[in-house]
This record gives sequence, C-alpha cells and structure tokens, in this order.
Amino acid sequence: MLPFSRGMASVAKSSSNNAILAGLILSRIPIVTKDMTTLEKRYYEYQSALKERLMWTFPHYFYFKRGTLAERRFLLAQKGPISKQPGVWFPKGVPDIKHNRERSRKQEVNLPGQESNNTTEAQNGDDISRPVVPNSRVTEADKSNDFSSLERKLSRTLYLLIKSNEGVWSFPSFAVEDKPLHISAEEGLRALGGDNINTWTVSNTPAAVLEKDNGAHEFLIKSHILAGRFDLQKNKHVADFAWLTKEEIGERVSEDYFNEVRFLLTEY
Amino acid sequence: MFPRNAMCRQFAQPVAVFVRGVRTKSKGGLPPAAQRVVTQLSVMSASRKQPKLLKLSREDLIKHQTIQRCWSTYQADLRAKRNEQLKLQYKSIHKAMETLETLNPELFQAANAPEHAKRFPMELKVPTEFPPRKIWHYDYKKKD
Repeated sequence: MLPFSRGMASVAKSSSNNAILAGLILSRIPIVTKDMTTLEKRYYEYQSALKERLMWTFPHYFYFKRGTLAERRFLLAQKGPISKQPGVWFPKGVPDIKHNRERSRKQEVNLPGQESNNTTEAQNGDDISRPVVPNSRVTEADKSNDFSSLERKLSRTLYLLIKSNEGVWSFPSFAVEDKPLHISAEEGLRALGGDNINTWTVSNTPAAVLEKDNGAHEFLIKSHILAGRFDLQKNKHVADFAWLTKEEIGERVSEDYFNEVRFLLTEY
Repeated sequence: MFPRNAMCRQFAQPVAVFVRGVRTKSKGGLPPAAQRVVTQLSVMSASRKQPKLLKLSREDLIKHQTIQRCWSTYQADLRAKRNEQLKLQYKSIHKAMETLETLNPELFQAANAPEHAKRFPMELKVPTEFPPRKIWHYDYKKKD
C-alpha cells in the first residue's frame, strides 16, 4: 500500500517538475436503460403500431385446448369483431372477418383476469398470480439529491470526483512510485476510499494525459466500480467526494479541465 | 342353497344397472395425434391468418417516408457523434502513450504489456428497464 501522505496531487506539486501522477476515472455503469427522448418514444410507438397492424391472427386454438375451461375464459375476455350484416352501412369499411379477426385492423388480444386485477394492495406476496409491479426508476437518492450515493441517476454513468481542501473538483490522482500506472491508481483509490470496494480496471494503458501547471503529468486510467462503497478516509487533502454525471461534472470543474476530459465521458 | 338365497335377495331390491348410451367419443375426424400435427402446422401456415395489405394514400406514404428519413438522420447523427468521440479517445490514448514513453520507459512498458488473461467481470450487469430490489451491493468485503 502506498503511503498516502505522498499520494495526492497537492503534495506532488512541491516535488520535481517531471512528476508522474496516476489519475483514475472511476465510473458506475448505468443500472437501468437510458431515458428515451421524445423522438425515440414516438418512433417506437409508431413502429409497434405498424407491427401490430401487420401481425398474423393469434392462433388461440394452439394455446387453449378445445372445450377446456381455460379456452372458455379466454374467449369470454375477447371483444369480438363486428360481423357483416346485409343492408347495413359500415362507416369504417365492410368487415372482412377471418378466424374471428377483423383483417383490416390490428387484433386486440385480451388476457383473462387482466381487467379484474385492480386490488394490488389486498393481495399477499405469496400469490403467484399477483400483478407485476416494477420498481421505480427514480430512487430515494434522486429525491434527496444525495451525491455520495451510488443509487442516484440509475440511467446514467456516474463518475467519482473529489474536492480538494481548496474547493477544486477533479478526478482523484495519485503519485506513482515504481509500480505501473494502473496499480498505483488502484492502490491509491483503496488508500483514499477504504478497502471494501470492488473495481475492474479496463486497461493498463492510460486513456489520456493532462499536463499540470507545475509541469507534472497526470495519466488517466479508466476503471469501473462493481460493488462496495467509496468511504472517504480521514485525509488532510480531500474535503469531499461525489458521484456525478457528465453534465454535473461540467458544472463543477473548471472549463479548461472539462474540455480536456469531456470526450472521455459518455453522454448517457 | 346359500348362494341361491343371496341371489334372490339381490333380485328383490331395485338395482341400478349401467346401460351404455350414446358414444361420447367424437364421430369421424382425425385421431388425436394427427389432429395435433394439423394444429401445429396450421399455426405456422399463413392461410387465413394474414391481415389485409396496408393501402397507404399518397399523403400517408409521404408521412411514412418522412418518419423513416427522420429516424435514419437521427441515427446517422448519433453515429457520427460516437465515431468522433472514439476518434478523439484513440488520439488521446496515442498521445498519452507517446508522452509516457519519453517520460518514463519503464512505466510505458508496463502500460503497453499484453493482457491475455484479462476477463470481463461477471459483476457488471446489462442495464434493465427497471431497477432490481437491491440496487447496489454496498456490503462488499475485501477478499484476501
């Protein structure tokens, strides 16, 4: 383990001009799929409507054996099409029915028991036929705006940023001894945030190099957090940390710094 | 003597006698195995199951083509953006490695070493539409 007092960028400032630092871009990948834009939502709706219109008739005789109770229940739940009558004017076109389906429109298949299931709370958890209620994509951490939580912004990639005592936000960076860059970065992260963290470093190769004002070079290593928590240890250089999305990083770091790392971060 | 008495007693009482009535088995038709095959084949066959062809008016056709073109333009924009970002990332890696080579050849060797045994981690999950009950496993303990 690296001695931490020498591990921070603020300390390295006083050292030689050719100092090499290992920066770490630690990300939490999205847990839920990305939020759709209005265009995407509309387009997918249009496509599914087209697909339903052009779908073959549902072969219920294959799924429900003839004369069974299940078939009866299924057929009772269906809303039959309007049949053709002699001498009647049909404003939406003359019905053309085959297999109990109006061919010029999409077929609506109702599952039995769907309409009667509106008592969600009354059912107990062991009932296997209880309706599926998905968890919310907006979490408690989103509501309370908890930047230290890994459960915020589930549809976005989050990056670990730390705030120095001077109030400057940046990616964490650590001094490099004899060890390779990625190992220095990983050990530095453990020293800064505790051992109970599981990460996966993407590559030994640095993703970018940042030149500091004092001539030091910071090589950025990319890594993913898989489990555990970043628990900021007692430290005299780091005041705070946060898990931020790309836009939030842009709000906090300086413009020059953000322009240098912008293309390393994902939009979603 | 004894069995005859028993029989007499039996005949004296009213007896429900089972009489075979009409056959309940379906007349004619196919044997069940053949019927099953017919059903399965008819599920796959298109006969009487296809909807009517779409007949778009000229206006509807133009509308449809506009939607499709909008979508392909949108996708092309996304693709161009992504390619641009990848290009920048590649250049950035290149620049970083060149800088590292001039600064510290040993670290460069280590950063350039092949990673044959490296595997994608099992813990990284594919994003789902809705989150799981336990969103994040905070209680990870370091393995020795």
